[in-house]
Amino acid sequence: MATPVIVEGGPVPPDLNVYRALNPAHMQNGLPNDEHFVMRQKHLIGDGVSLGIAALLSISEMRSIEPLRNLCGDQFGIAEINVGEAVQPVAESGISVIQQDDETWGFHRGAHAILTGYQSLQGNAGKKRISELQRHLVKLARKRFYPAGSDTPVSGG
Amino acid sequence: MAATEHTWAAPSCSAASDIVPVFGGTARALTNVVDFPSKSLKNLTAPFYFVAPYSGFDQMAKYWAGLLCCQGEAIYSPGEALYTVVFPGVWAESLVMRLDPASTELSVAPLQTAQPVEWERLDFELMRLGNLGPNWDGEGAEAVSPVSVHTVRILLRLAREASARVPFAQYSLPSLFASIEGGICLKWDVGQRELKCVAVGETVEVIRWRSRDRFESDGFWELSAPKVAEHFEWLLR
Repeated sequence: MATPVIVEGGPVPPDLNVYRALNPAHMQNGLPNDEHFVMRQKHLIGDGVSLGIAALLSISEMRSIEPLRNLCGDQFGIAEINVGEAVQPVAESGISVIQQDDETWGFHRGAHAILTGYQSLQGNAGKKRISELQRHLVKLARKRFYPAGSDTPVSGG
Repeated sequence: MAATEHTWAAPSCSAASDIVPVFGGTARALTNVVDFPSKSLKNLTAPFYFVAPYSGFDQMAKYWAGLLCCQGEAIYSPGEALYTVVFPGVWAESLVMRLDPASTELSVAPLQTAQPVEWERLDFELMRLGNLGPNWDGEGAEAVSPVSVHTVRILLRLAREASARVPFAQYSLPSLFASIEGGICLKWDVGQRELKCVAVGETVEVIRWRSRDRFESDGFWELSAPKVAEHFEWLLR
C-alpha cells in the first residue's frame, strides 16, 4: 500500500480516515456523544478536536498514546471517521482537518491531527453551524467505532 | 337487557372556563366538582359504568375530552356494561366518572394513584448529574451548576406538560447528559424531528432539526427556560 501523502502542517487528504478517542465519561448508552466533539468559538486558533491519522497508526497504537491513556484509561473506545465526510458540509466555512505534530504523542507525534477552523465562526450563526457540525460528527462516529477494549468496529445509534 | 336512554346535555362553553385541569386546580361539570391532584398518570383512562347502551355517551366523552384539552377515544365493552374513555397524552390521576342513571349528572371520584415512572427516572438522572463535581470527566470539565439543574427542572416540567396537552403525540423522553461547561444537555428524537437544549445556568441554547437526514438545522436560539415551551410544542406537533 502506498504511503499517503500528508504534508506536515497541511490538510489531511479527504480520502483518509482519522481516529477520535472516546472518553468513557462522555459515552451515552455505550455510544459516542456530543461531548466527544466539543468545539467552541472561544478556543484558540490552532487548537481543535484532537485526532489520530488512521493511515499512520493502528487502533492499538492509538490506545498506547500516553496522554490519551491518562485521560481515558487503558482500553478506551475509538471512533473512525472519514476526513472528507467530516468536513464536506462545512468546507466553505474554512473548517478542515490538518496534520499537527503533538510532541506528547511521542513516537506517534506525526500521526496527530486536529479538526479546526470553527473558531472563526461568529455569533449565534456560528454557534448554529458548530452545533450542526457536532451532530454530524457524532453521527459519523456512531457509524464506525471501536468499543472500549475492542479491535472490531461496530455501528450503533 | 333493555336500553336505558338518558339525555346528555353538554354544558355550555362558558363552563369550560372554570376548568383548570390536569396538574391541579378544580374542574366543574354541571353540579359536580372534580379535583385533579398534583400526582398524575399518563393516558388518563376513565371508565363509565351504567346500563348500556347509552346514547349520549359519545357526546359525553367529547365533553370530558374538551375539558382535558384533548380528544377522547371511547371504547365500549358490552359484556360489562362499561364504557371506557382513553385520553391519550393526558396526565391526570385516574378517575372513575359514574353516570347516575337517574339523572344526567356525573359523579367523579379518584380511582387510583400511579406514578409516572419514566419522568421520575429523569428526575433521578438529573439529581445524579447535579452531583458531578469538578473534573468529573478527567479532562477538566466544570462541575454541573445548581442553576443549570434548576433550569433543567423547569424544562422537564414544561416538556411534560406539553406532552400531556398534545393528543396522540408520539411520546418521547429526552436523553440527559452533562456538558463539560457545567451545563446539562437534553435531546429528543421524535419521529423525524430532533430537538437539543443545552442549559448553562439560566440560559438555554436551543437547536432543532425537522429531519434526521438534514445537516442544516431549523434555527438556533438562546432563551430563558419558559420560552423553550414553544419548541416542545413544535416537537410534538
